[in-house]
Amino acid sequence: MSEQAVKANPYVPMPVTLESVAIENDAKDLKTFALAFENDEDREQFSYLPGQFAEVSILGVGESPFGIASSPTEKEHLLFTVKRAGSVTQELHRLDTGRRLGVRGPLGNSFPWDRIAGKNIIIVSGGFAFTTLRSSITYMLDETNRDRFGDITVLYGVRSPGELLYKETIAQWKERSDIGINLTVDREPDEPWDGTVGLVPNVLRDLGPSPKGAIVLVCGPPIMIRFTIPVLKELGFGEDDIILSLENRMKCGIGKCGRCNVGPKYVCVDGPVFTLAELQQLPAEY
Amino acid sequence: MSDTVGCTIEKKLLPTLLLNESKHSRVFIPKQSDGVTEYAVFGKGDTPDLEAGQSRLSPKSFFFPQTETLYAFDYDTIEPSASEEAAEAPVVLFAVRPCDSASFELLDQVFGPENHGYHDPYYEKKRDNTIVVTLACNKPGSTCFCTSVGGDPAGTRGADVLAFDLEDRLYLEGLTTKGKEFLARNGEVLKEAAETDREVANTLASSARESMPAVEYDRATVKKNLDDQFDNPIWEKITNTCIGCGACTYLCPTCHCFDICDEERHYKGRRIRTWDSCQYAQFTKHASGHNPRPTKTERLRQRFMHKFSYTVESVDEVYCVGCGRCVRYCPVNLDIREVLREFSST
Repeated sequence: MSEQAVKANPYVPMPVTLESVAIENDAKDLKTFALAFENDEDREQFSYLPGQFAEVSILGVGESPFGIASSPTEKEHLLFTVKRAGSVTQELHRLDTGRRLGVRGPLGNSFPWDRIAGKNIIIVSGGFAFTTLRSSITYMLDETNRDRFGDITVLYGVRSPGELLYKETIAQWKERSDIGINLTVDREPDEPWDGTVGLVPNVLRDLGPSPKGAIVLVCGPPIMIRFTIPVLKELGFGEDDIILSLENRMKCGIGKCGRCNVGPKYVCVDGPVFTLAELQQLPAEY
Repeated sequence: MSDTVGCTIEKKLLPTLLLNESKHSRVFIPKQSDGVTEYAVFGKGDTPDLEAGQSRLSPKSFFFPQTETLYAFDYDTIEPSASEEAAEAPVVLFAVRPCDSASFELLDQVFGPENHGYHDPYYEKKRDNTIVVTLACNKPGSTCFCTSVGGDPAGTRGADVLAFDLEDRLYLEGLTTKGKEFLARNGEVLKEAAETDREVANTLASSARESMPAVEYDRATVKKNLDDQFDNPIWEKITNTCIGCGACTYLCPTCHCFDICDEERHYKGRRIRTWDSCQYAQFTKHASGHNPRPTKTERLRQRFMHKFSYTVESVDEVYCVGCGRCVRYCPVNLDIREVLREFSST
């Protein structure tokens, strides 16, 4: 198809090559896929912000939406960390590098970077929902951006040390003085562990970040979110300053196929990022 | 109705008009067989069945087919689908009922770029290439309730030409540029209408309107009640008989949910979209197994919330045109009008 036709047709993916695959966890059901655009125009046109997602296609199998784990400051690759679950992700996990895939996007809104600028940022995350937060942290720490943000505090919890995503990247962040990294595991691990032990909401309470001039990004499993919100409120965070990212089943990603709605909002085009204040206006169908 | 006086055509000349059109367009007319009305391709010798009433299936499938190839692919290339190219051929939809043509405008708002800037080239091409000739209803059916949801048996919404059945003739008005061109190029079989023709058309329209049940649906009240009573246990009662077949969504002229899936064989394949339905459990089920709408109750509620609350909020439209197909064909007699009544008390 001609370049123009591709742009006029949001259903047609852009060709990308699978450059590398990294196993992220001990269970080996989480892998990070690095994709490179085949066409320069596509790479330039794919202008995104942390918090957005894209549809990744394996032609003949299908496509699925994933949050973008790379940062726009990382020019060479798009990263997606994918848990093996359904038919598309199972096939993805079987692929070798060099395989051609498709990408549609970027899709959805992003974290509200205009509002985040100038504030202290607290990141609260659990499990493999950390992907778009990896994007966000990398973006903020980039030397062209770091001045735009205040203190960055990260709290990231996983079940066990082997489930931690992006171990090398996180190790590099820990070397830096301009970001606070707090890692926690659910219960006392068998292997060596230099982080804390405890569930995210409890560790957050102990950490007690100040809500003053701060905004908090929360991504994690529903159970973590349910117990984290009350702690954030206790700490004095307002509902407009608690930012969440939703996931719902999607197909088109462009607000037409009708399945990802939460009340009158579509997660694909109105989200996936919502403030707590916005979510409280919606039925809890997510 | 507009102030312009339209034109008339004798019914016996309709095949001539349609034959003229079929030289450059694919023309579809209502036909009845075994008591079922469907739109079928007009061929030489055919006469449109203007007594046939509403078609069983909504004509939304002309723009949004039940199954459609988005593109074909092989190992190296992605090619636009044949159906996308076929859409270049113009289409005349003859004798579409006003409820159904109104639904086209509602679908335009989903598939068109006003919805968050995204085009749907498959839908848009077919829509752009189609002339809609709407036939006003002289005898609304027993399950019709268009007037209760802002429609009219002589409604012009979504129509390029509006036609009235005056027994031996049709009275026609061109409403859009496309519609006026359609009439202009068929001038040889048309006559300028007399003022009395339009008066007769108006009379037929008002008697059709009066034959319909009184308007009892108040958009704002129903929306407010639906929103306030999201957790009302009445939804469980309403859902009791529902078997989750999804027929209502397939028959509905405004329902537009779809699935996208791939078919592949020997490194050649196609990506297709097919109608889907919010009434099916798989529709919203996450890969993790979690389902935001886990039972029929949430799914049935979604259908009503979507039509009478969510779209009112997002695009200021009710996504129901009152065609009554869901009432007529629901296997367990679930009645959308009764649901509206449940949520109508102030």
